[in-house]
Amino acid sequence: MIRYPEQLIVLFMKNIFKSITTNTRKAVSLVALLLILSLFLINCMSPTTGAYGGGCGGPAAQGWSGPVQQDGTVYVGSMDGDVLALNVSARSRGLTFPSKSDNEWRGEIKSAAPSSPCGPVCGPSASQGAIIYDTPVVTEELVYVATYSGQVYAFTTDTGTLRWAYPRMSSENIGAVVGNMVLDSGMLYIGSSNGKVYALDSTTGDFKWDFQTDERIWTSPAISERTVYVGSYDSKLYALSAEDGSLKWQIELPAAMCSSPVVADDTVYFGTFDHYLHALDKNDGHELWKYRGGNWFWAKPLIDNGVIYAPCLDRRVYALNAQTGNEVWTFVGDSQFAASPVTTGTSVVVVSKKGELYNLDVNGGTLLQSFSLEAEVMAPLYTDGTMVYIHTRDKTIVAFDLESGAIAWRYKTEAES
Amino acid sequence: MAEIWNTGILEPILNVLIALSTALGNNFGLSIIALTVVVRLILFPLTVRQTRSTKAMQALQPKMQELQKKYGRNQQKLQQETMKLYKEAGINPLGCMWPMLIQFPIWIALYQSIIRALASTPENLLDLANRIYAWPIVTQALPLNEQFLWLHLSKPDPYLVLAILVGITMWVQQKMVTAPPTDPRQQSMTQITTLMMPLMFAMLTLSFPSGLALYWVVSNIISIAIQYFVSGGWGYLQLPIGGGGVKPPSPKKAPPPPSEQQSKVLKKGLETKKGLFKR
Repeated sequence: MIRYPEQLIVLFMKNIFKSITTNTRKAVSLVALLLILSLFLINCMSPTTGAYGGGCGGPAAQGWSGPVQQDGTVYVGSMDGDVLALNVSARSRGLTFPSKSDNEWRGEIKSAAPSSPCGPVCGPSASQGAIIYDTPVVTEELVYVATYSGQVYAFTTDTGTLRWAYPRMSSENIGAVVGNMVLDSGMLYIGSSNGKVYALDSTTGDFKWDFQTDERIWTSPAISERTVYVGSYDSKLYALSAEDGSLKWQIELPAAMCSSPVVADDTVYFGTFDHYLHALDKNDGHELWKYRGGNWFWAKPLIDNGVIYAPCLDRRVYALNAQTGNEVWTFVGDSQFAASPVTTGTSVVVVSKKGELYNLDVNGGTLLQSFSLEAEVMAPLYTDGTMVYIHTRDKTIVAFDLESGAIAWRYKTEAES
Repeated sequence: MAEIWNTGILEPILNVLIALSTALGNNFGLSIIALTVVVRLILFPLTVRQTRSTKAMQALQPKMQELQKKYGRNQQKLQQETMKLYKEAGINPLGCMWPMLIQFPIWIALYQSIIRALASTPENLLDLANRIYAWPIVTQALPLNEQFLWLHLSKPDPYLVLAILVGITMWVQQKMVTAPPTDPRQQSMTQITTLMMPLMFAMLTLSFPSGLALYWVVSNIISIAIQYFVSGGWGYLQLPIGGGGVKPPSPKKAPPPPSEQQSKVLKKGLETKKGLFKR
């Protein structure tokens, strides 16, 4: 069965060999095929390409939804396209999932048959079930999640019953959602791969407004004082009215935004593909300072007590003065940092792409504790102060206890067949 | 080993591809075309060598078939006679394959580079951070502008134009080099084979990123051009459909019938015993 284009090329060349010669065909074809196959095997079996079924075209789309905890329940979008509600108490006791008495549930996204934006080259997983990059937004009553196939769903928090979906027709979509949705004043704000920012009524799922940019939006919007800040791959930062989506201002950036923006006080912070972390005035977009890292500031930075903590793909975590951009401290990890960090107030927790968890003292960046999760991590982290919740690439939700420095519980999100 | 491939072959081509995109006004479509042309120009001497070797091998085909008929049951004798035939013609049977083998990794790297650079999934984009150099001309180009003419390069062509072009150019390319079999029983099989691959690639184009299809089309057109100029014409494309063994209509442009080709090659090999096909 042909799954990858490389196989076709081999087949094609074999066919050519056939037509060229007769007697030497076998020997020569064998040499050629062996060489080609060995090259492909070497390349496609490497951890960075083949590990998640992506083939030779690179890693496949699988999603990296982060966990969110509310009232003793962790909500997350699984890598199999389900929304899960995991009761912390039930999981720590190791009960069979779902424990109905603990209001646990699995919300299957039935209508999600994603039309892969890149065809078979994305690998086999791209055509199986929904893919979720969005970290759920949770209120007392509803859990919201958006998918890579361009649908937005609202499930009830207690039973996981579908309350509404947008677009209303399951055959329609709003374009692949990669960034996180943001909830503010009863409205959901979503950036889409079709270049639009959507605003939906969070209670009913009704469409309120949209705003068209010139390129994909793969980062999350940020809201402050009824203004939506959103970066598009058209290398612009837009400030929109949260009420009606009208443009307040826009500025041209030196490169496209690669991290989701974060707003604190009067400043918008974000990373761009030219390796810079930028701080712009949120009122008019003029630059306050910028700081150059060794690679992309991919993860959404974190701001606490006047310090911005920015994980970078150059294996470092930078702590900078949020006002001036001056370096406070840096920490070097074992690999790239792609997951957004969390803070407990006294420490910052970061997890490297290779799955090494580091708990760093906010004063000086001293390593307080480290722990190997033994799986890749790209999803944003969540903490309630004592427990850190991590969604690893081996489809597991890990609850790490900062006090004991050990895993409190872990749960494999794959549905039992 | 995988890192040797990535660092030594894939990443240089990938970075040049992205840098070219910036140099060509953030136009990744032009970058694909330009790099395909440049790579094919660099490999031109090898391609010519391969084309000529292939032609010489084709010329020996009738003689080979005769040998097969004669010594079909005695494999040892058949091999001896075959080697003798190659020796007389001054052909090294592996000689026509080496240029192809050297070109292969570069084609594959180019193909992979296009897919990697397009970064059509978030995981691909994140992975790209490991592959690109810290050159401003490269980092400023990301993420690449996917628009080219009517195409969205990371998505399939919605108007089928590329699928048709891939199919036609691949068919022409194959038809130019595929000698019609002398045995009429094999004719239908050859025709099906010649049609099958272009059709399959055309079908695949419907679901592949159009950037990749663009590379296929450009690469095929260059192959056709090289074949045309090196072989001195349209080759077996000029033969009427189903006209196996029929003399090409224009002897000036098309290659001579296999028997004539064979005698020319044999003559050349015996007379000179040196040059391109020297053993």
